[in-house]
Amino acid sequence: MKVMRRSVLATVATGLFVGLVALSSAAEAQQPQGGVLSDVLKRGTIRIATIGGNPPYSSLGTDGKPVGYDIDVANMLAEQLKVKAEFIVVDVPGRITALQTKRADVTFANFTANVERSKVIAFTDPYVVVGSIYMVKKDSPLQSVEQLNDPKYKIGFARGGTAEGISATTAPRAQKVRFDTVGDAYLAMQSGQVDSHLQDSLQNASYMAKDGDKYRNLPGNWSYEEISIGLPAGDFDWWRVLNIFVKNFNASGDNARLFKKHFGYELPPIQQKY
Amino acid sequence: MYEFNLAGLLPYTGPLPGAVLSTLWLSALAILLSILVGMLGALCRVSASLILRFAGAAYVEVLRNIPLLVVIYLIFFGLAQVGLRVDGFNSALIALTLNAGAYMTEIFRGGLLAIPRGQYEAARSQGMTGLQLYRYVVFPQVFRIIYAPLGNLIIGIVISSSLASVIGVEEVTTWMRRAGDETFRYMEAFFAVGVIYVLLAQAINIGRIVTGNWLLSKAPVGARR
Repeated sequence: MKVMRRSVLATVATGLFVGLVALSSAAEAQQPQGGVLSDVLKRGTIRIATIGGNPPYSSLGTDGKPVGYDIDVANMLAEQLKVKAEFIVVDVPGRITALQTKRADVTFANFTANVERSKVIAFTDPYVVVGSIYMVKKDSPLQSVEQLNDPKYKIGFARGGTAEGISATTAPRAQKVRFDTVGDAYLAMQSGQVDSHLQDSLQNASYMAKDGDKYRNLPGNWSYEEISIGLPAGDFDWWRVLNIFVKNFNASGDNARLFKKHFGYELPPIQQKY
Repeated sequence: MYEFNLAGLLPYTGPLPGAVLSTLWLSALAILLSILVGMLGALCRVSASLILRFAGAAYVEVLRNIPLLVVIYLIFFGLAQVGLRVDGFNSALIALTLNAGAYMTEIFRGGLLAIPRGQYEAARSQGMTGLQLYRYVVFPQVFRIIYAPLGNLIIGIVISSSLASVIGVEEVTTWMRRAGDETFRYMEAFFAVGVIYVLLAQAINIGRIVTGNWLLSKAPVGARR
């Protein structure tokens, strides 16, 4: 029983250690800081969180550096601020954590602005507006989302994104399989591990342009999502600068140009008619 | 300013028991299966047959040198590409078993090698058959020798089972990410799950110690260590 007592002791010790680490990191995160804008200018570097495995928005190039539409937009912001861009690659939920813990100054990561997220972080105006599409293999028996809403079918998507809520409302009865990246979810559909991949409509368009002979979409667009720059909550000056950047970026034609370069077709309207 | 508040997770504790059970079930199955694989592997590695020895060594060297994450991807995505669809849970179970089985093989082999040749000869001279030799002479001693290293590996399996989250298996790490996604209390979710893994690993460890003491106490006194 001596061994067991030692084991219980180890458990308690480890618990204490984990607790201390968590508390100290929480304390660190609570240190008061100056505004992000002045930090960025002083540092001469803007720390940008983005996600990998999400082409054509952002993915890792052959040299391991992120590339894509979101990356080009972020570089343009850094250029205008006259600072160096430093990219931090995170996963889908990591976009929020990176901002909450102030590891990143902004996110450029196919990031939908919504009320839920706005409770903990902030967003600018949108630079792209997207929807959500269910994609299936060409030879799939599925013809509609109603048919997909059945426990015998699996829907794959990247965790931590808006697909979670959209799949829960549009196909509540189907099985949900959550992956780390959009690329993994796409691969799962490709290899038949899931029956359908719920994905961003613009991404869908570029997938269809590339592999349209192998896949098709189930009818319907299931969301309206404003893709925006994310920033830590509670920093008006930083928001003001980023929002002016977005407005000019949209109006100047730079957005249309970069979008065409990466997606291969014209930028759909950002101003929506209600 | 980030405020650490564990109570923020409370609305999402509902699915936690199921997630813990899933992690325990996955780990327990992987532990049992990898022990079987390890026993077979070790017997292959010390076998008189060159082919079996080579097969055992090849298995250990290949599986021990591929990261578990890669094995999980190969089984879940790779096999599916050639038409063999193994679901997430079973893919993770197979990958964990193959990976841990390679380490188990080495642990059991070490145990087998520690038994002096003279004992085999002595058992044979008493007229024991091969099966009796292993059942009454070799395995009881091997069990004692590998007992401690086995514990490390068993904890390793519990910890590694968290990788099953990348292929969508609903377990503790998946719960952590979803709880974070739903409540935006990521730090708290990471912290809570850290504590849960410590408790799970120690629960399994205590189980191992208790079973071990019970089994060892039944062995002949002279063989006790």
